Amino acid sequence: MFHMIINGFVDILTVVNLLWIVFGTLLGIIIGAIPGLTATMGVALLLPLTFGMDTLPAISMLLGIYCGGMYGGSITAILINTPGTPAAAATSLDGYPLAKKGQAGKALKMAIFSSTVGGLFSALMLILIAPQLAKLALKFGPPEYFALVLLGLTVIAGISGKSLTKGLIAGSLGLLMSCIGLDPMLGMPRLTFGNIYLSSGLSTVPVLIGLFAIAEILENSEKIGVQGKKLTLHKISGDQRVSFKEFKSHFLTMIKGSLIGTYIGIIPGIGSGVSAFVSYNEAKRSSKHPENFGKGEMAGVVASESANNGATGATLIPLLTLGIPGDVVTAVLLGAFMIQGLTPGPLLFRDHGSTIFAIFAGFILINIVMFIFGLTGVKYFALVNNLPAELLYSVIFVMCAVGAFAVDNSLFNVLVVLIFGLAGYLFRKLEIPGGPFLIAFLLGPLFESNMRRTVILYDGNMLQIVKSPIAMFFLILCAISLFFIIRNNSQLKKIERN
Amino acid sequence: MMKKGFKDIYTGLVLFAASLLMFFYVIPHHIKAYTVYGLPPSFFPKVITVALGVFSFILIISGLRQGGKEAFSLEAIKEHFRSIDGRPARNVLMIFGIAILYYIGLATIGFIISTPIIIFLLGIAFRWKRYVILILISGLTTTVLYLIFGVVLGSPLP
Repeated sequence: MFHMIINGFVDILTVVNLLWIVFGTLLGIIIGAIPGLTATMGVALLLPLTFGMDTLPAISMLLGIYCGGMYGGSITAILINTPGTPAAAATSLDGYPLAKKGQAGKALKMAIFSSTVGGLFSALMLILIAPQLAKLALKFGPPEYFALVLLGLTVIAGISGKSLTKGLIAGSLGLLMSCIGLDPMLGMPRLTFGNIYLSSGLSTVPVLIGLFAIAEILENSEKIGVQGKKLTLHKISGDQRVSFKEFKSHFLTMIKGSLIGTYIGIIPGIGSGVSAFVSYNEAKRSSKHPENFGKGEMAGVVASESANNGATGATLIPLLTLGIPGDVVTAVLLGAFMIQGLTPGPLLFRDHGSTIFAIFAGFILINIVMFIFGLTGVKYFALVNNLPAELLYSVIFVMCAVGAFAVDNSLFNVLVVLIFGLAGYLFRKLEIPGGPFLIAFLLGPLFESNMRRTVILYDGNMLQIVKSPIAMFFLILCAISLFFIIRNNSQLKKIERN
Repeated sequence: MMKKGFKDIYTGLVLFAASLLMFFYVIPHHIKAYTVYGLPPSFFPKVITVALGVFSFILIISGLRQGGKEAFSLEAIKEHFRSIDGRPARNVLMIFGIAILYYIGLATIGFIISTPIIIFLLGIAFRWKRYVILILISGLTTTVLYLIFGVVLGSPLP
């Protein structure tokens, strides 16, 4: 295998290939940083460009957009609390409070370190254990998915902040919103009130933009003309360098995040957004200072960024080895492979082994290019904090509205942004956390459809789930996770009382 | 400043009422409940609505425990309204009003005309007083967004 990866590097290291990798990665970072534009959209938009291209530059460019987009989402999440992509929503939980403390530069640097470690780790996994892991993922049926998504939902308890009840209320509201649209099993309209735009459900991106970005603008608008309150962004202050000691202190969290990202990324249909939240929750659970999470804890940024980039290579594993696209972006990539005459599946490694290993080598290079752009770009990205807040908020608002419109060219999405913006603002006023709402909204359809399939499979007797060792493994993890969350919460309350 | 107990009680009451409305009116009237086998389409929304009701009830109880019992006294409510500074709420309503105007503008006069007007209005609402810069930013942002979304990405902007 080692000589194959060396040959892969020899194949990919040409000027033309490198230029396309650089172009794709840079474009991905820009796309990811624009609210409303996701890595998926970027890959889909650039797909037609690959028709006349050779295989290696074409696939490498698209993978560059994918990885770059995943990192790019964290830039605006940290600087202006506007996650460019759903996967970056967990990053904003601690990234933005860090920016408020004047540590935006440090948070951005730590985000690129974590993204690169996550990306390289998942590349390594892609090369070493792709086929074996993909075989395991293939054993996932509805009960296993149900148990896994339930584990994802326990994250709600972990990111509820001060009040678990309010976190659970936010989660219930998120699940309720996810019910809007066609029933996942029978295709009947639910809670659509006869509105044709609601029949396909609420799109994630407008909900996300409204809940985080518009709510932020509305909250800041409170300060207009109020004596003693100035409408300013959070200026960067103090040393923004990340020392080796700091990097080392977060390295374990990076590896854990990368592992979680890789593992969840392999399973079709779950995606990087969920992996970021699960990793964030795990970092909080295992931290000596869980009370600092949500208030500007660097480990929160590290955990979510290493996990969402850790999922990038992992999502390619079921695609390349089994021909199963795990999410929308890999489904678009499946199209790109087919255009190039490569049919993903078990025979791909036998028939096009050298090309696949060159793509793997390209994947490693993409992460290195992303690291270089990310690190050198920090000082330019951070300039956003020096812009006048009055102008920036005006421009961000319009960008958010247009970005939401562009998701599926529908004005209805702009309305969704406004409604969820107001809801997000009210959430903040009532101290209801937005994170649990989002995670429940993302996982709701998966949870419901797999629960209902499991009920049919076991003829109504859900206790039969104990027959599945994988499902049991996840259910035990759920119990352990809940135990630690409740213990941490009670410890925090004790500390507060004292 | 609203007391935490007050806030929790009224939030809980509103959500509890919403869950009752959902369970007894919205779900039965807007989701067909029959199915051939397995769980019906109304099952999951009903379970969540019940959960929402239970959590809202817990919030009301915890609000009462936090000393919010006086939330039901008319004098305390009057005192609360007297203490509210209306300016932040007016600011939020003003910005949200402009946001609604943008939605109407996009639907009627289109992106090219409504976008610079809205950026200009928002700038003024946020008390930015350098009007020349504001006009330039409004025009520049509209042009850049049009080039990215309309030309490069081919999105049919309204």
